[in-house]
Amino acid sequence: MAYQKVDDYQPATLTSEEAYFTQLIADRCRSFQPQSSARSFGFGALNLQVIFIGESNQDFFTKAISHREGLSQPDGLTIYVVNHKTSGIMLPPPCWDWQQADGHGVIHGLAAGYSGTFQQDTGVFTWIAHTERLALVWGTDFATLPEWERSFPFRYVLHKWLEDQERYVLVHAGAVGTPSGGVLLTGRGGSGKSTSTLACLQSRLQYAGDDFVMVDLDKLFVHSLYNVAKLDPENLNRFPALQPLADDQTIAPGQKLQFYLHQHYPNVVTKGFPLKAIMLPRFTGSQQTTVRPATPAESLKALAPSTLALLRADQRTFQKMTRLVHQVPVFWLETGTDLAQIPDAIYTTLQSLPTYAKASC
Amino acid sequence: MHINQYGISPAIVSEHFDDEVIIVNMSRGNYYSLRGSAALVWQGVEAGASQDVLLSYLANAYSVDEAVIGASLNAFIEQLVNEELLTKGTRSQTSSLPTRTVSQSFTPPVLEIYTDMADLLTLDPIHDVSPVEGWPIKK
Repeated sequence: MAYQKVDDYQPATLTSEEAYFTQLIADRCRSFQPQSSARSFGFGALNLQVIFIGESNQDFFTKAISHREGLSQPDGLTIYVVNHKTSGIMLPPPCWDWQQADGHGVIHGLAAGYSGTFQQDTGVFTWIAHTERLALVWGTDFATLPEWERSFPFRYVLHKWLEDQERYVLVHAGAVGTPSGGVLLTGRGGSGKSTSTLACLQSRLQYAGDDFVMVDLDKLFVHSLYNVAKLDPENLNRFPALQPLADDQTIAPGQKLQFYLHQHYPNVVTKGFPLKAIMLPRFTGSQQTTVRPATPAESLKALAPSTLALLRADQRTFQKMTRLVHQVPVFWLETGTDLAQIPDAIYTTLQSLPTYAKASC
Repeated sequence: MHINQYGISPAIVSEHFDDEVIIVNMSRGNYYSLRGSAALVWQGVEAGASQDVLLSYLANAYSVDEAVIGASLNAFIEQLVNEELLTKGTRSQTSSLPTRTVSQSFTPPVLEIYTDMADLLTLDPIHDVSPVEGWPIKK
């Protein structure tokens, strides 16, 4: 049944309030002057066209994905990044009741094909319209966003865009490897995921991320999303190569240092590799690093909770992760104090495994 | 015909492995591991078995008297309800349980609870909305 028009400006063909809301957003963004040119970022088959509306620090949204910037492709997802403070663009009246929003700002009960969330603490509203292939990231003032938001731009957009696709899933994991294959590194907080990932920076292994990566479940391929490495300041002395890069960083208490590796070490960062295994880091306190088999259940316990929580994801993402842990071998990576042994142990394990897939990134 | 007393909460997702069931409760922010007899109980609940049927199922699987396991089963079911993994009520559908024979001796079902995910799920309900624009007001 067609949606009843709420005013004369609404095209008769729109079939829902959400479609009308999307149309209003698109009209306001497209009519804004001066219109900036789109920047294109590719993640496997997914292409993002990012258009900034109003003056913003574009680096804030693009530096972490700069290694994926490229030529525009057809059938991409257009993301309007709207800074209210500099553009003056207001959001249309909501087509939902705020009682539909949960405690995380996720709006439930929208028409199929639409997703929305309002981050009350940062004043950022995100909207994804699948049919229109359009997303919106609207903020009251992007200059006030916390620095850590810079390290995973468009994470929610990417997740929601892929949520209904059985082929792709975003997972909370680090990823390192070679062109012929690599591993996901995942674990509960404090397990040593970041340390293990960063320990590989000056090794034969390339870096695909230490926070979120995208996995192609059909081709078993890891796509790098963010070229950022994050590190607790108290651990900086363990990574001499990163120390000079920390000199000009001012961070708030409790926050992590951020290192944009594509800027400093472009050859270290990879766009992706075939996925050969999942490794679960666990710090042992001994000097040696060893590898031993783990179970798919242990892998799911390491991978699923933080992925689901950070993405506000549901059973669709859970089911994709269960599919993932059943498809590749799983190992405990029992890490020691000699960090150089970590990449060696990963590399040796990789060499012993067959390659399951070859796919472009 | 047995009366089914428990259903699976719609807020949870779960996955069976060879020797373990993993459950995630997104509304609470907890996740759980069930092994051994606990995994068998969960399998039974998923099939729509009543508490009486579960008792019989476990007793047969472990070849022990129902009196040996009754108290621990009751306590375990109560814990599943308290954690909001089960809801009290009748399931609309039931399916038959496979015959299971467990070689290990019976140990009471245990619910392993992991709470580290809850820290990532801090709630911030939207409560102040502009009457003019209809959008949340930052205070």
